[in-house]
Order: sequence, then C-alpha cells, then structure tokens
Amino acid sequence: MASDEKWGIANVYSSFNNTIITVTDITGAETITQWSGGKVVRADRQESSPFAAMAAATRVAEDVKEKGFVGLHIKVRAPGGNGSRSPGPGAQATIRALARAGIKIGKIEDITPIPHDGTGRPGGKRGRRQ
Amino acid sequence: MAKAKARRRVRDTWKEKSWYTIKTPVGFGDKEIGETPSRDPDFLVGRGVEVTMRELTGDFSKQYIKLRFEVDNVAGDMANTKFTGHKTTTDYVRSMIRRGTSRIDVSTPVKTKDDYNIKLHTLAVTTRRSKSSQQKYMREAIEELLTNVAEEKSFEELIESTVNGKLASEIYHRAKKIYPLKRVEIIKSKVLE
Repeated sequence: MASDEKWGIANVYSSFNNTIITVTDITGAETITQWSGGKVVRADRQESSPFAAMAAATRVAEDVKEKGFVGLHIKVRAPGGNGSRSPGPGAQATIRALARAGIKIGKIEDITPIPHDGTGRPGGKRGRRQ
Repeated sequence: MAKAKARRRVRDTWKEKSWYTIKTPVGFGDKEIGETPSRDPDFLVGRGVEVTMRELTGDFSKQYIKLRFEVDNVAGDMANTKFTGHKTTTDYVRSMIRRGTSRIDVSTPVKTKDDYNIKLHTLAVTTRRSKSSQQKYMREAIEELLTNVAEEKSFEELIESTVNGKLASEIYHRAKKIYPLKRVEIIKSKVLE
C-alpha cells in the first residue's frame, strides 16, 4: 500500500431498525466521522431503509474526503448475539453509495458477533405471540 | 446552528493531530502498514491493527488470515508494533465445515524455547463423522504434538510456521493416522502476557 494514500475503516452496523456508519482510522481508535440512517430521515420507520443508508453514506464520503482519505475497508455487522445474524437492508446500499461517491473500497468483511453459545433468544418456548 | 458549532469543534481537534506511520515487527519484514492520527504519541501504545496476509506478502490464497499487531513503542513518527495473534475469517472457517463431518477443536497453551506463552487454536475437519473416543484421542495427539514442537522452536519460528501453514500440515500428517481428515488449520493464535 502506498504510504501517501490514507485508508480508514468503515464500520457499518446494519440492523432492521437502523444503519450506523462509523468511520475510524485503521486501528479503530480514532473516530473520523459517524453517520446513521436516523440522522438523515425524519420518520423512525425509514431509519433502516436503503435510501437512508445511501444518504448517510454520501455524507460519510464527503467528510472522509475532506479529511484526506482515499479508501475505506468495510466491516459489516448485523445485530448478532441472540439477534439476527444477517445484515439489514442498509448494508448493501451503504457499500454501493460509498463506491459511487468515488471512494476506494478495500476488503469487505462480516464481523457479526456470533456467540459460542450464550443466552437464549427472546420469545420463550412458544414463540412470540400477541 | 448547533450543528455548525459541533462541526467546528471537531475540526479543531482534528488539526491538532499528527499522523504516525505503523510498521510491522522485524520478523514480518518491517513494512509500513498504514497511518494513524493521534494528538499525543503516548496515546498510540496499545492500538491494534489487523492486516491480512495478502497485504503483507501479496499472496492471494492467504487472504483469509488476519494478523494482529499492537503498537509497542513510538520512535519519532514511526510506531513499532509487536505480534499479538492471528485469526482466520469467519466465512473461511464456515466454508470448511460441512454436514456429516466432525469438527474437532483443540485449544492448546504452549511454551516456546525462549519462554513465550502462546495459545494455539487448531481446527480439524474429518471426512466422515467420527466417534467421540476418536475425537478425544485426536485432541490428545494434537496437543502433545504442538507442545513438543513449540519447545524446540523460538517465538518467531513458531509464529512463522503457524501463519504459513507448515505447522498445520504437520498436524495433518500426524492426526490423519487416527481418523481420515479433510482439513487441519490453526484458526487462531494469541500471545499470552
């Protein structure tokens, strides 16, 4: 990797309720910018939509470019644990929007936390009912 | 208004920060991995970077191995690191495990010749379902082999053979006598303090 090109990590947390993009440096110790679906749309139910993720990602791209980054590695994360293990609708849209905004995309990795057996999923034995 | 204020504050701290170049340990070629901003060089110690083998060696087939380096000391604007462990990506591990096979996990704390404590996590995948007695025997065999190998090697030699897969193939040839194996991989290592 050329030393004059600065790279960062985009940590994308994508659940069914929201999409949060946190951009850090490669160590993950310094946050560069943070955007979420909730910051760009009014209605709560749209927070997780691909549109909101896209809007958030373009703002991320602006911030990141301003600070002199050329590319981002992407770490996608679903809720995990006892929750859903597949990323929500915003994940793909984020990566697409970042790429379209002219940011180089490095490695893309799934870092969903998967328990080595932990607590049970909510809902009880008979499932969730009304 | 509030937003504009917040933005300005962020920008100010950003400008105070200077960039430090992170370097791999000498055992890994003393290469530059990347840069990290910091306000004070003291804040750098303890920060970790994950680098894939592909970035270090350019070998595409080793893309799934992630090495972790943590900043040990700072000299000028160079941050020197030490190796603290490696991991393979989750998707790679998952691709190895199929139905109708047994997954055998062995976690072994070993001690090297020069008194480093390292924990090695081995994963062996059999061709067919094996009995638990065979699995137990295999775990014991792997554990014994790793302890013996580690005693003869120095820290750097052991890490190198772990990361480039030589140790894993050594285990494979030893353990396949117990039960036919499909794959053996050291999926995780950790340098203990």
